Amino acid sequence: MKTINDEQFTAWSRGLRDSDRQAYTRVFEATYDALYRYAWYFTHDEETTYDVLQDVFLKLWQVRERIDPARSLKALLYQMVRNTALNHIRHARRHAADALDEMVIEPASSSPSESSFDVQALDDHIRGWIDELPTRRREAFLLSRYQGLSHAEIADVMNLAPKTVNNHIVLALQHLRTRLLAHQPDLVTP
Amino acid sequence: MPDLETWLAEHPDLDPGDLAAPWRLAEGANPLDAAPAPDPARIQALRTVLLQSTANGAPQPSRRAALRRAPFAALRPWMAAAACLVLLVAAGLFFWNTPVTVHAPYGETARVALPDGSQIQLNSGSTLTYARRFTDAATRRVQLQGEAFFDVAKTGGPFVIETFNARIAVLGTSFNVRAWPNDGNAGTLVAVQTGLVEVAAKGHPHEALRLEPGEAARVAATFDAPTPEANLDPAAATAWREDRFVFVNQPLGVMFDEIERRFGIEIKAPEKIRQYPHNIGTKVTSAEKLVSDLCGSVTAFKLRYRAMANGFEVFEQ
Repeated sequence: MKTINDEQFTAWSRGLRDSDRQAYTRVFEATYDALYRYAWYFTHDEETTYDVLQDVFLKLWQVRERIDPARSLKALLYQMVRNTALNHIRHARRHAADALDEMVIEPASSSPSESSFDVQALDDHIRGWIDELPTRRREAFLLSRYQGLSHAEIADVMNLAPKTVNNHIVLALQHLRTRLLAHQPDLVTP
Repeated sequence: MPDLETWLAEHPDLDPGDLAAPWRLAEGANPLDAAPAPDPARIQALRTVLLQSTANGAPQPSRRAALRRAPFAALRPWMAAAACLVLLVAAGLFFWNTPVTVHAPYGETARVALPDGSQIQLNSGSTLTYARRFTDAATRRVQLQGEAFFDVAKTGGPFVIETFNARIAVLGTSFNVRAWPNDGNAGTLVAVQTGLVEVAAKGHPHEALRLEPGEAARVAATFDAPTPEANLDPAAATAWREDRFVFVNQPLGVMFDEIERRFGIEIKAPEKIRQYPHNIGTKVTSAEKLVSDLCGSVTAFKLRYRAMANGFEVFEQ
């Protein structure tokens, strides 16, 4: 998704607004993979993830005439995935208010091993340190670092002030830097 | 890095090089890589459904037509049998969904070994609740009213303790939780012995506080975000486990309540005495010895006590 430039997205926005099914298909093909991962981040369940994707793309077609080409289509898609996924979780859990709370206590997906400094081990460490971040900070960081969203887009998706997104990313990087310094200082100092 | 200029404008104190290194090194550590790859066949099916539903003038197809595995229509002849099965399953589910409750009665403590190997010691009067299918969930979850010491088994998944006002998330570690809703000093107090623990007020899940060994934090009964308890002696927090009675700068009422629970007795005292903050550190031998030690060590006013049928009455002379 990173490789698609903003002009392309704007062109697709226009196409969608004009009910261009080819533009719709292109959007689907270009984005489902990244959106699938993002939805899975919330659902942790393949079946639910497919449901979320289907709901989002059906909805996208339903609202196509109201799409604002000035607004990032990417941000719109991510926001729809986010809201739909959280709704699915809420329904699944019955306890609506718990849906977001649940995310707070996400497990460290891999417990960092203590020895060897090879790349794989370092990646595991970093993954563990990313897991240590508070939920929303981690989500903002994932969207920025791995999904290639701009800060303005992240603010749009997560319904945050752009300044807050900035702070989240800077604090996330500072956290990683602190951990890296303690772990292997030569990696972060020139 | 995107938006670098914005960062620097907002954080003039930062060296861009400081943030560039973690940004670069994080490249291969995408947590979303843990997501299973989407199945091409499912994606193709989804694409077909979407294209059908967007065709000009085409009737809206039933949602999810291509994605559902078994059409429910095929079940119709077997509806009755299915209904019976559903009832049976429901009964089973009801049993499996009934939580397990462990209660340490007044005058006793209790030890609980959870299915995952975690060990919990419950102080008198405390109640621990957890799902029968405890280990099925990705998150191990227990509810605590009262006080307990947790020695959590490392399984890779998180372990969450909910009290009336706080949520405590841990990996594998040992720590003490004290959460009496009606205590003189109500709130949830968490003191960590080993490992890492994250504490948040239930109402403020995003303002979690991370505790390291020897650190403690309190979530006040007002349900605010947690505050560090810098002066709490970690040994004091777990003194109850070794039958010691240690309270630092706590209202006498808190200590009376503790004695009531520990010995299953009642201690009557006027509110003025209950509110008085006091320190004590002693061995637990008998209820009377504790009451006597407390009365004898308060110097601000003269405390006396007398035995009642089911406990003691403390009064000012």
